[in-house]
Amino acid sequence: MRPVVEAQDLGIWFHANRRRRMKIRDVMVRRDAPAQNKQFWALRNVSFSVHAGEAVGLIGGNGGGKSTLLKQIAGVMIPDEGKVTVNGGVAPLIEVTGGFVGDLSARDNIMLTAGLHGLSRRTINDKFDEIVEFAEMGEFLDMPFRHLSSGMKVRLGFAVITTLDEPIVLVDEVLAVGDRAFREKCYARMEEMLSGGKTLFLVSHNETDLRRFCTRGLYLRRGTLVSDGPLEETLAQYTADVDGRGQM
Amino acid sequence: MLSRVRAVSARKDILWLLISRDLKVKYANSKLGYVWSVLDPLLMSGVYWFVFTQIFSRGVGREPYLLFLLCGLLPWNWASGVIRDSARALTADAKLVRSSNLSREVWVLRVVGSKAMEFLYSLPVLALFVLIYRQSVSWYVLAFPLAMLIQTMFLVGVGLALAPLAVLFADVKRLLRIIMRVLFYLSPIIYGVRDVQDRAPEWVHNVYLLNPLAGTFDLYRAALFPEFFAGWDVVGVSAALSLGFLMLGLTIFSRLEGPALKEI
Repeated sequence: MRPVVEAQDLGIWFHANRRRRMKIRDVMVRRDAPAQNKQFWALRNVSFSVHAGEAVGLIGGNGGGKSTLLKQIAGVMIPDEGKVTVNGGVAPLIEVTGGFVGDLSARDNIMLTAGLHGLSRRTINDKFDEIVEFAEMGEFLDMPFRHLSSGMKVRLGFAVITTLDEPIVLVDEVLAVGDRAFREKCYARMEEMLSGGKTLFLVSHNETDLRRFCTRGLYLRRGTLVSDGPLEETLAQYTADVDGRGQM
Repeated sequence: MLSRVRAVSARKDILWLLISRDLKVKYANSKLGYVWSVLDPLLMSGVYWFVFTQIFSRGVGREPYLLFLLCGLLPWNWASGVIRDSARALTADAKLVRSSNLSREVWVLRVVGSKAMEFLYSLPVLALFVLIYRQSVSWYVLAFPLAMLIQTMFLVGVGLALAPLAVLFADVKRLLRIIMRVLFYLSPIIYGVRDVQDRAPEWVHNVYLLNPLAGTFDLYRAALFPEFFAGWDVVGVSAALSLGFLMLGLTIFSRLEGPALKEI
């Protein structure tokens, strides 16, 4: 069977010691070029393949490359080395509130953002009530998005993105926000999606969440894939690493 | 390159959505939205009309000069808007760019598209002045879409080059402000291409035509001032150059897309 997501020698680097952006002069005059060219690899030599229906947890300390890997799978960052092949559409729960415009009402925002992620107008109309109900928008539907509470914004984002019927779901710690009741709803919806045969990638520091959803773990340390296997084993290795070194 | 073009056209519904979102934000929020988008060219037309007819004696262009100015300033407004905004095409909605895997050319096309819509919306104002001055409209008005097409090619090319460059280099925006002022005076806005032909040496005229906006603006203007039209060869040069800019823009964008995405 063809893997849904396959990474081959994936690598991406960033500038290690540079101001945020170059000046044109820096390119013209190459006097301090060696110092500027220092780069560090946020990911390197990462290879794995994931099949349909698998639930993969990305584990590792801060700066390990988890979110960067997720972005490569989502196709919003382009690797410098190797490649990642994704067979199927992706529903990215990364920066879920990104598509919303502060000045427009929640209603307009739902229409626009859902459309941006590829839903047709008909589908949006069909699912509109479901989204509103899930996000518990109620009387706030016609309020400018800017005036919604931050929890409500995330709720709306989560509701819209999970409505996308894509075979691959990427989740980057969005579960950390929202109140308890809403979190339970999110869990329920994610479990529903998983039982529907979707492939899941979850970035989380919360072991309970990881255990709840994932069966397989990818442990990333400083950009390299340290271990790939059943979740419990990789979690155990991560824990041992952290305990062994004081901190990672 | 062809596959990228195909990928963009497959998602043109999304492009349309982004453009209508821009217009919605611009027009829905303030009642003055429409006024704002025509106020600038109208005001500038008034100023140049005052300077060049009341203070200096007008030696360039044609009567009615206010109409002559509007024919150049409205498309210039489109061009300058695109050049200014495409420098922030990838950063203005950085979160959205970071979280959706559309073909990223869309972010530039969206800027060109929404400014084109504003340009179209401003045409009734031009029509109003045509009525006021009782200016006759020539058959060249049929070439209006062609002029828009040439200008679109040029602007898409420039926008595709600028968007990633502005992310990678901090001083692109500063440089742009200078280039825009220069480009304004080097485009046939307050004068016509025919004025350059009549007054400047031939080599100057030839160099002048390297600005792809020259033939384009001239073609717009031919709709109202047919006797002042510089000729199809001038338009041809602009069309060829615009196509060249488009190719260059596509190449630059596909090369710099990866590095630029790391920085936003």
